[in-house]
Amino acid sequence: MRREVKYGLFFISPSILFFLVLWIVPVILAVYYSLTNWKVGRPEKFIGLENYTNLLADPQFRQALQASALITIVAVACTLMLSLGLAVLLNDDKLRGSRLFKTLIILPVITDWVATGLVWQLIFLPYHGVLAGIFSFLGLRDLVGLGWTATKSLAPFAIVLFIIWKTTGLYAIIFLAGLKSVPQQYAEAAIVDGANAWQVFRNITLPLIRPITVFVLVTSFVSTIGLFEPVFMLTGGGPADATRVLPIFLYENFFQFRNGGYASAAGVLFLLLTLGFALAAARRLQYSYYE
Amino acid sequence: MLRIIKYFALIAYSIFNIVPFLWMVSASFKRPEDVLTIPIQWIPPVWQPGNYAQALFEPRFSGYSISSFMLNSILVAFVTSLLAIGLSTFVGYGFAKFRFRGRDGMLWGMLSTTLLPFSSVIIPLYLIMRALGLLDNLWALIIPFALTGQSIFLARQFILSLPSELIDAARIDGANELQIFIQIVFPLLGPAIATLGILTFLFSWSQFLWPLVVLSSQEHFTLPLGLSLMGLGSTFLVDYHLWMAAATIAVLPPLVFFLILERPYLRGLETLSGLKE
Repeated sequence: MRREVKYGLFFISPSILFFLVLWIVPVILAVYYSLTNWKVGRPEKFIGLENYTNLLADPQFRQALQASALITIVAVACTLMLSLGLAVLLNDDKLRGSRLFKTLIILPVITDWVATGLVWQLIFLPYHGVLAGIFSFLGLRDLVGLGWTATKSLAPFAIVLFIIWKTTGLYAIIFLAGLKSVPQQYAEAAIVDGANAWQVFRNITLPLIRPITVFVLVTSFVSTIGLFEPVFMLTGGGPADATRVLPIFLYENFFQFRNGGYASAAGVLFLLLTLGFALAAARRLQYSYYE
Repeated sequence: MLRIIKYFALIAYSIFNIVPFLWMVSASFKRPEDVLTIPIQWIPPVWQPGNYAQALFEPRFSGYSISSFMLNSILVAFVTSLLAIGLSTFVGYGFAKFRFRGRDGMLWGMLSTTLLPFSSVIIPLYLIMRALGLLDNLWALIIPFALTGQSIFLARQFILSLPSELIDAARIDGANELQIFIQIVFPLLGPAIATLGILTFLFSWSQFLWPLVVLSSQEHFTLPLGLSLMGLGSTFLVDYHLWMAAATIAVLPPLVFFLILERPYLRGLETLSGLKE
């Protein structure tokens, strides 16, 4: 029994080191600096919760919260529904070309944000871009000149569209695996009892894949709210702060404005916000992980 | 009728997915003046394959070119993947086949890091890299991703399914614990290694924010950083054909790897989502 403990700890020791250096210490550092007036290159002084009260009163931070909330909620909701829909369509043994469909659907997932971001920049270009070309082909002349990434009301949705395109395939494949793992006998019994396809999906399939739905919801929420690249590539946070999401706010405050303490406080709030949401779903997630 | 709607929906979504790629490849072969035309010319009126050589080798980034960024990216992604394979199976073995107090709590703690956005801890992580003297060093891109909550969990799940009798038999034969891991367990982990390899490679290849934070000299830049310079630097309309050639080049390595390792990749996704032991 002693041996179990000794060698168990020996084998997991690298993970303890990584976990300490890459997560525990950074979080402690972030909390510490968030309570100081540290500016990069200058010694810091303890100022209590001043950074936090300043943040909550800072219209730029509120705008960042709003932009993050808008982009994340719309993108996650659309991605969730689209990916579930695609998975239902693909979950059919008689479907022809299902392998090709799967490969095409996963294609954006395996590529990187920056290379595809360059393409989407040109897609959204007014008058000359790909969308403009498609609108012009469809005879929608009024839409050709839309400044997708340069208009306050449109820019968040341009980013949402890019995120949907890039991530939906991943969750569709996960949902598909979930649907395939569901035992068929309940659905068959319900059909014998006269249930229609929608009733079967709503009352039998959906409850059975609930752990997967929670997994996709939490994963897509955490990864979407943490996204820096699509915004950086398409709008850089503009126009007029409309897409200045939390990761961009953090990055700018630290690496450009050098406000170490202030940016650390924003990082801590960002972390707590995401953690709060994740924990709200964590009990169910844990169940799906450890089953 | 229902089937027609089904195929129609799937084809429509596939087109939505593929059109940006088709346009990218088409533009990468065009003359600059043919890139942004209305109506869109899907077939380049004049083919210009030399765009690729120009995009790859033109030293337009203070003496460095996309090809040198690409070599950095390949190096980083490979070393990260190798380390991830070695470290995660090592740690995963400890979590899967040994019983000790606090084990499940620690595993849960490490897994819970997957619930936190990486971008929220970049500032303190940057300070740690500075303290370790790793700023502007490719190791700074490798170390944080060489062992993650996901990779530990993946390796553990694979190792759980190995029969413990095998390990006990080796112990009775007098093998020490390290020998058992290296000679008995590791060779049986082929599928886990392929899965860890492809997932880590794709993850490392697509990193952007972290290299942007820790790298400063263009000598060390990775491909996404180079690409973003193309997009944000002093670009003129005439350069779009080169952007698209560079973007196509950046998409090819992950695509090739994915096509070779599609099954391990999909198995990895299933394991991570808790669907598979």
